[in-house]
Amino acid sequence: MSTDPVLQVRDLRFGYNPGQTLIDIDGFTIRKGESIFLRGPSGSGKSTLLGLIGGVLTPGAGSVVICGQDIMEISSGQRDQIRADHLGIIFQQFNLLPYLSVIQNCVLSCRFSISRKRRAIERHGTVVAAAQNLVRELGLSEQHLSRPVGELSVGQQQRVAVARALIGGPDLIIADEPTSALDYNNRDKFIELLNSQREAFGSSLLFVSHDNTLAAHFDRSESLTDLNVADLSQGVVA
Amino acid sequence: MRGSTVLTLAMRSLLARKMTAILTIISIAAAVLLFVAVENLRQGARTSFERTISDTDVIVGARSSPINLVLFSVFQIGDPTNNVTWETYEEVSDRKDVAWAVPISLGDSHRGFRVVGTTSNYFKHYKYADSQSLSFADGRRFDDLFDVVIGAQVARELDYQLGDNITLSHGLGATSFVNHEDKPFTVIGVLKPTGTPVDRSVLVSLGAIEAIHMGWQNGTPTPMSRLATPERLRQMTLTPESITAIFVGATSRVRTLSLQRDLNTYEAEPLQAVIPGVALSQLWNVVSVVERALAIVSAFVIAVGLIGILTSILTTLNERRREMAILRAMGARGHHVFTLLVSEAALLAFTGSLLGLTLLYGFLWLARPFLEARFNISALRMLPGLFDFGVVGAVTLIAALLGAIPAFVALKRSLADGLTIRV
Repeated sequence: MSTDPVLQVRDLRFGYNPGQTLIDIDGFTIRKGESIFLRGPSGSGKSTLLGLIGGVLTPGAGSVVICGQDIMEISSGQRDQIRADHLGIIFQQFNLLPYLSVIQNCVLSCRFSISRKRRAIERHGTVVAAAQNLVRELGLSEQHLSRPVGELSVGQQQRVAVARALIGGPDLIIADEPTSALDYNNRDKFIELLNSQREAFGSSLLFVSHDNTLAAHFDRSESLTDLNVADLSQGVVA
Repeated sequence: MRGSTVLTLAMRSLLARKMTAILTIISIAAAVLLFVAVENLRQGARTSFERTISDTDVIVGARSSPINLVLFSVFQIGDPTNNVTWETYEEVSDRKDVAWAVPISLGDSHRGFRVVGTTSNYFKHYKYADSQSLSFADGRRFDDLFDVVIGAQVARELDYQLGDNITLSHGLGATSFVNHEDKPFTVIGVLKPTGTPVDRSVLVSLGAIEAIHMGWQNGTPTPMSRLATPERLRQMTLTPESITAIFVGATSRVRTLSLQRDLNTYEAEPLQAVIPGVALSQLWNVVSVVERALAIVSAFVIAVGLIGILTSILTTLNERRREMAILRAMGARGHHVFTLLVSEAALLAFTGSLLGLTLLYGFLWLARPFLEARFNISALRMLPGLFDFGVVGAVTLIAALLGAIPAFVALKRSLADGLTIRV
């Protein structure tokens, strides 16, 4: 398992409608523990690609292999399970459910995945202890924990989102422009924090952004415009 | 993820939208309260209706309509049109197929309660519910000419004790200008509550009815009536010329129909004989139109409440796209999103209908003393029964089914949205 790639994309084709091709990627691989910067301006098929990797969309052709499991070969329910077990996802902003507390938001990932729950318990005794430990590592104080998530700053919310993505040590963290709502100083700090924490868990990272200046923080940088050879002038914004 | 976790999420999500949730719950509570209350009343009315008279095979009166006869003789509603002569009564009670015959004479009242003139056989043969006889809470049957036995409600509302003196009034109104003041009666017995119109009756002997009208003509006293003092009257044999109706028991059930036919074709005077069960069900058919209309209206109120749930969930769906996308990203499956919304609808309906039941029975419990004093509520259910919980179950189930509509919309959207939050 350790030598297996975490994510392997091969000959991937996808379009929402027949005859349409939005994604056409020959090959793209993320190895275990690796951090990748994927630069994708808007309209480059970024959201569609993330939907395919996340197992929400079904590829038209080719394969997406996550931790040895080709999502083409399994049911959509199983793909949901793969996502729950192996992926940690961080959105641009508003990552948190407003009606749950910080800790409840963090443990949400463990609620859908028994393997991540088990790992969190192995390491910290309880899922809640794991979450508390993580948010503390990410620089949030006890005081923050008791507040409704809506009262946290954007930066603090994003750190809770990181904690939620990391809990139970998933194999791959997918971060979709997580810093776009942060200011310059916080942005670098956030990426450093994200990187150091996910290294501690041994998780790989796929960091998607249009901002090329961030590329230096990562092991490797790829451009989606180079990877995706589909003709995107078909008028559909993905 | 276990089902209970989805339920917890649904509950927290609802709590975050307290205002709409509470309003929706209240509307469901009000609807269920109305529905259950109407049903309770309906059942209560029907039960007490059916329990009013039993073991009487035929009721005989002057010819009018069967429903009218039952109304005034049993329910003390409306006025008798005509009387039956005493000779007829004697002939009827002497018939071979008649086991017993109890005459009643109406037309007087006491402070709004009707006076029933009858014989002491009334206490023996008048049965209600499942062949239950009248029994005394206090005292005994009338014996003297000026003895009176009162029903439970009369005693309660007018606060009468044994030995109290009362005056009867002419006519059936609550207030009367013509009173039989010169002939006071003594309360000799108080009946136990029966849940029937007997509770509202003032029972005297037939002789007493004659006595108080001695010397009267056309409903007003003549100077002659002054001469009829109680002492003198006690010396006289008072046999009425006519009575209002007769309760008849046949020697056997099989003879009831031929007895009824014979009496209906009685030659000496136009009579009418009705079988109480038949007349009661005819009467109930009249009443049940209203009762059914009420039930239908309250069912529609529930429908409106349920549609309210549907609307309140559908309108939140747009702002909750993000919530669904986050849950999907966490690994929530389609059925989780679906269950979340269905259980939300079910939760609203369940909480609302339970609240409705609690309010209704809480009210009944609190208001019990008042209700007992004012109305005859012996037939009302004071505790929620199987039907009520059935309503809770049904409302919850229907809400869950309706919840499938927003759930389906959310599911479709969450599949289309994927992991991207568009809002």
